[in-house]
Amino acid sequence: MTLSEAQTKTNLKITYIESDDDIRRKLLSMGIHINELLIKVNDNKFGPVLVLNPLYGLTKLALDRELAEKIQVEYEN
Amino acid sequence: MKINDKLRTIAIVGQPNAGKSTLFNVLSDTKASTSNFAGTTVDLKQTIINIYNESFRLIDLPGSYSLNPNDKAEQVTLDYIMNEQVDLIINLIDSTLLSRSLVMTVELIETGIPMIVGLNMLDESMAHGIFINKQLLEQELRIPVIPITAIFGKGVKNLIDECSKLLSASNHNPAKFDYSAHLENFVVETESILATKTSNLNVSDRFLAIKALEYPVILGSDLRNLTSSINKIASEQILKDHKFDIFESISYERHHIAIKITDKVQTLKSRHERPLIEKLDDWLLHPFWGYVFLLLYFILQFSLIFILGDIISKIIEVPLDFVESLYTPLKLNSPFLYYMTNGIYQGIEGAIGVVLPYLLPLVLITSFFEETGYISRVAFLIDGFMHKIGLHGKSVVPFILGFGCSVPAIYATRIIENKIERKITASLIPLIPCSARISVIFALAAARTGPLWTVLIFFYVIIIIAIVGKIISKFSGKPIGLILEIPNLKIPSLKIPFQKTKTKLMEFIRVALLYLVLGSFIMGMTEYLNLTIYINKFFSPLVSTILGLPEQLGSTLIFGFLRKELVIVMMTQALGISSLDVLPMTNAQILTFTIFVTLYLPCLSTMLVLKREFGRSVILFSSTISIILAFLSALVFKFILT
Ligand SMILES: Nc1nc2c(ncn2[C@@H]2O[C@H](COP(=O)(O)OP(=O)(O)O)[C@@H](O)[C@H]2O)c(=O)[nH]1
Ligand SMILES: [Mg+2]
Repeated sequence: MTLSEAQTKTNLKITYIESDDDIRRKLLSMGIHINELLIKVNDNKFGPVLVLNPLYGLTKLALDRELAEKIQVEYEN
Repeated sequence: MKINDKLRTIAIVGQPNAGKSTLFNVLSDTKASTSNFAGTTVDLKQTIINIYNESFRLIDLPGSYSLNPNDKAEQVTLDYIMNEQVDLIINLIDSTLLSRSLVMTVELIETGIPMIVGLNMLDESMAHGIFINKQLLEQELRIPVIPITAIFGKGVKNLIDECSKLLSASNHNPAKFDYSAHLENFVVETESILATKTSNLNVSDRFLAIKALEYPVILGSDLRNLTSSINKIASEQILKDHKFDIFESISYERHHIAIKITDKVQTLKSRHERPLIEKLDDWLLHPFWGYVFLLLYFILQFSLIFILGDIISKIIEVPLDFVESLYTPLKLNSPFLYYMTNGIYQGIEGAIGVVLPYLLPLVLITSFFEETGYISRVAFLIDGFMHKIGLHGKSVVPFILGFGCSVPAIYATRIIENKIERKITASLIPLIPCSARISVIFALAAARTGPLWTVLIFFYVIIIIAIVGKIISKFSGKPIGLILEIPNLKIPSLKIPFQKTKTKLMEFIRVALLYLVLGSFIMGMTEYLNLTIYINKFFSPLVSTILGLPEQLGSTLIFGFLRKELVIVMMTQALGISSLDVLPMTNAQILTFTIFVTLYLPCLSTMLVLKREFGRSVILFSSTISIILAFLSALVFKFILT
């Protein structure tokens, strides 16, 4: 499923990011990594998805809806 | 300030929001503005500081997540580190984000430049139950680590002492981080290729070798050509073995180095309950309640500025009137002296009595909310709306800064990766009423039209921006890829908002008053020489025929181009009145004029910055749309209201 569809307040693991190099690299530098845990904090139907990489502390990242649709995730316990 | 080229340079480098500008301010006396969102430090801020009787150049580099630039702000930082003679790097780290920050620390260590780590925001990390063992971290990195709380100046003395030690040390020997074997082999091989050529860059060959493999576009063409064949071989090989491309492979390895170090040096106290502020944040970002809070925020900010502004102007009025009564007797004895004095004094009175009362609460309240970190939440909440006009949430930050002043707002567009989107945002920023214009709008509203009209004008301007943005973006494709950091919500210190207000006040007194006194003087002279008539005649078709306003307002438009708040001050001058409530204009005329002045042209400093950042074409573009919009809008207001 995509990050956009996933439920909030759950642990997710990113499996695949479908986007061009620039954006994948930017994601990488801000802490969105393949095979790593990601928590979806909040989902704003009018706008972005809010995620948190627990390894990187409490700072949250807002990701565009379009972008969230390109990030494949699976539930992880 | 002219900065001597022979001075040695200390650069503060770190990720956005690490507190670099705060530290810079503590270390120097100049007050660069700090803000709690990414990308505020976009123009190079530098100053001279004294450490034990030696002068150094201190520079506050734009925040960067890594040394692989994604936007112009990050590019500036990398360019500076590579090309300038940096003698010491202070790598500032937000201690609540240790592992993410260390990724860049590893990269910075690879540059080979002497370095010290400032472990900042100790107050925050303690509050969150994060403990970092300084000695262990020093062992891992083999460079000094100094815990500090920049906002309170704590630990800064130690930091300076350590800098001074390092600057006089002849050798430094930081940790070397090895990549996995076959990556490392390629790095070593590239390094030996680079060793055949002397470079005049400020960084180590190892750093250049890694970059030649990882991100060759940042190197000059000579180095790129030299390493292009090995880059090709390595890229193919790594992609085959790791199934990630070489850029990502290196990033992942650095990331793992950082995580490993973090695991060793950091301990987390388990938390029974989430702190209140984190719960509050859930509400502020909530898909429904978030918007309720946003609305409340606007109402609160608006009413506070209005109420405080009104109170301040009433208080200021008393001494201002008193001073006026002192020279009034001159009128009988020496009329010439009286008119000259009066001309200049009314300029001052207009600035202090009319503009300042609204400017001060505006700056104070806005920077208070900036300090809490709320502005990034606003960006998050209205990203959806921004998409509708073809921009994304990143433009929100510059837009919000635009309500303060267009100049820093235009610099802040550097955080926008996409060039076209950046240009669109920058061209729209001059349309946003800056604090100078807002003060004018508030003052006129307070004196005559009432607060509701202010809301209407804001609303109107925002709609205009939306429409124009929509039209321009039709030609530029859809924005994708907002990735915006939402820093932790903070209880703001009152110190910084007051400091910023003071800075703004000083700037206002220095620059605005100078212009005002000169302006009033020139205005008085032109009137004396009957030149105003020609200026007014020149603008008359526009001002009086089309817009139906008093012809005398023509000359104020020239002053408004210099600084927007001059319009209102010169207005009282031009019409020969002592205060705004006796303005000989109908409310409809006032509103028509206000909307025209708000939109009609970027002010001089804004134009200069637009030129510097984008060249003439964007000035031309931005000016053209603003003039057209000012006309159309003023006409709309005129016809609807009369
Ligand atoms: N709690 C706390 N806040 C800090 C500290 N240092 C800076 N800040 C705040 O963090 C935010 C970002 O600081 P700024 O200097 O603009 O960061 P920059 O982006 O690195 O230049 C501002 O709101 C500062 O007031 C600190 O030591 N403790
Ligand atoms: Mg800064």
